[in-house]
Amino acid sequence: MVLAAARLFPGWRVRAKKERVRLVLFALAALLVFLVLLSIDKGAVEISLAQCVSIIARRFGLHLSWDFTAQQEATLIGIRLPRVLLALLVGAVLGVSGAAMQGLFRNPLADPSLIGLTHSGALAATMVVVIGDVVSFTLPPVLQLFAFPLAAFVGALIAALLLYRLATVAGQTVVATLLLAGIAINALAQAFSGFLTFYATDTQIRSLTFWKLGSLGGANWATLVTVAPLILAPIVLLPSLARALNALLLGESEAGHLGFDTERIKRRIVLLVALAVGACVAVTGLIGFVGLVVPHLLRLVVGPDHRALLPGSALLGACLLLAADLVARTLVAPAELPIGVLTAITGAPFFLWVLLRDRKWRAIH
Amino acid sequence: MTSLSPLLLMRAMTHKTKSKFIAFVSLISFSAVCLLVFNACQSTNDGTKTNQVSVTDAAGKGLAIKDSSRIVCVGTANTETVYALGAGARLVGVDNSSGEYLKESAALPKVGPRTALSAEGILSLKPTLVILNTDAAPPQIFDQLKTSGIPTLALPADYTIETVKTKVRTIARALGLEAKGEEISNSIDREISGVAELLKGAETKLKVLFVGRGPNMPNATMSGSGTTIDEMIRLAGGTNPMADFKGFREMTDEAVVAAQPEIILMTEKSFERSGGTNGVIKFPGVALTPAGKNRRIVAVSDMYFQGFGPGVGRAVRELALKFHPELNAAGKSEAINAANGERR
Repeated sequence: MVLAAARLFPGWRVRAKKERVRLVLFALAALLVFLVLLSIDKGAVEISLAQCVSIIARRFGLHLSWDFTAQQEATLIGIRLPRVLLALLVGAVLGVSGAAMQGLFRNPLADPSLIGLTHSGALAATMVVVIGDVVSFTLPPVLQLFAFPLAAFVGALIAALLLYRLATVAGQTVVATLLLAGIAINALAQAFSGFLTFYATDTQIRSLTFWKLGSLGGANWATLVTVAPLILAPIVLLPSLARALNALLLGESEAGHLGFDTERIKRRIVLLVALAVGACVAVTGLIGFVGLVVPHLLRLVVGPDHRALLPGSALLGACLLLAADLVARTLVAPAELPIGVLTAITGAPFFLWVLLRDRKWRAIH
Repeated sequence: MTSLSPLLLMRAMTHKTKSKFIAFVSLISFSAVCLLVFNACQSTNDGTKTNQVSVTDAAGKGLAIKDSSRIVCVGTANTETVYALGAGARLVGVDNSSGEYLKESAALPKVGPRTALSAEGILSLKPTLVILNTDAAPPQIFDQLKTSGIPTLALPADYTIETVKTKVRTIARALGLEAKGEEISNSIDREISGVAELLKGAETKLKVLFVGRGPNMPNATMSGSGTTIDEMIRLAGGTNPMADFKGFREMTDEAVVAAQPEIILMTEKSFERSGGTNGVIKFPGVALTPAGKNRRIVAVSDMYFQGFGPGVGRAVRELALKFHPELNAAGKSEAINAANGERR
């Protein structure tokens, strides 16, 4: 009811809304903390919460009385903790970049994975795998860590710039063109991936399959440290563009009249999102639907104001991916489910439900 | 005096509390005895906790293994080797395809397909040794397992007879069963050289096309070079007409007709799936090849192509005899010779 009223009369009870936004963000933060703790505690290897505390305290030189085995310590520190942190970062950045893309294109379907950015990034990384093997250049180990994120970033960036060029006519983004161009780029990227797969060896295909399904299973401290700055930059910087995105909602020339340097802002957003997508694709493979669903859900609750939407999407994205990964690694233990499949399986029906509900709501009013 | 104090205590008790106290004391002592017996059993069970052994992995690095009593094994050929060494009881987990192709391991916990392993999942089975091939994924799994302190034996993922023998010997050494490993490795040698000897009697090298078809797959694929199948065909005295591409490709009629295979090789499962000989002949181009005209389709156990295992010698022999049935009589005397050699 409140939601409907707030939508019909923007400006109605502004203060109450502000408070509610604050409450929602606080609740999400609390949920995130809870999920982080739960994720650290739960896993295929049995480690009690007390033992977790004890293991982490030991790292800081504190000796607590709860005993643990070396095995539990190695599992928690070497495997589970980097994985939880990676899920946190990737989820947050997928959420926030989804929200920023939707804001930039003024279209709720502009999710990086739907309009081809993710697949373009994956294509570029695939090229590193397949062509790199054919040309047989071996990078030094330090560069090897960066080769994937860098290639994926370049791929996503090219796609994003191309898309923007194609879809923007005289400063106005044509929505239909945007979506169609996005779908075309997506198809093109997938076709090239398929072409490369055709020439890939058996071993390469295996690592490519692993990647296409998406997984956080490869998380370790080295990959985490490599991609953390690339992921943290968009998480921190995108919310600072919230006011500009709000202005862009009015239209580009209107935003320009309001004093925003729209071209610079657009460039910055595209760059940051490409960076985020590239880093994510490189370490986790294709994880879809988080960037699409999260901003939608949040918009239903907090409205279209990007000042709330962007940080909220980061929080909710992190929550969703943490929860999904928790299920992925505990449901069929000692094996695990591919997380990309899991997010799509839960995300798609939920998204459909939201769409149907929205349609009904529109039919009534 | 202190040792008497329980007795003094008992004297001071009423009848009811006394019986409770006796029950309590007996329970404690019973569990203590149980614990002792359990510990004793454990230490006697540690026959596998022999001296530390050192093996060389695929990267040529040494790996120290103290205890091989709980093994997680990834890769069908590796699992098959563990069983062949008689150490199947030490397995605590295998990958999905091991579970699918080796009936003995069907009931063991599965750690997933070898392309999507979970380090924590593997660790939850409390292994003391993990055996896998270098092509396992995610690639970080090796580091993850190593940092957790579990000896992780990464074996080469290429498929030649030399590699199989090295792998069998390495696994045997890791398990403290070197003699048995040597025996298996020697028997592979004997079988392979026996087949080579046998093939001297064959007049021609036949063109053998391998055709595979997954469950519910509309199209069949054929094997190029660089696969287990390609190597097996070569060892069994055939040639692979599709050797100019690597890995697997979808079957196309023109390529099949151009190749003119004399035999179509399949696994039993995909042969059945394809509807037997009549079904296979309907595959693209097959009807126009000598294999199709003469209805020469050879189907062998699926297990033979799951990476080379300890049974590779027998598999190659079976293939050779199926490719050249005329050698069968000679083959029997050869087998007798080989058996005699073994006895000597």
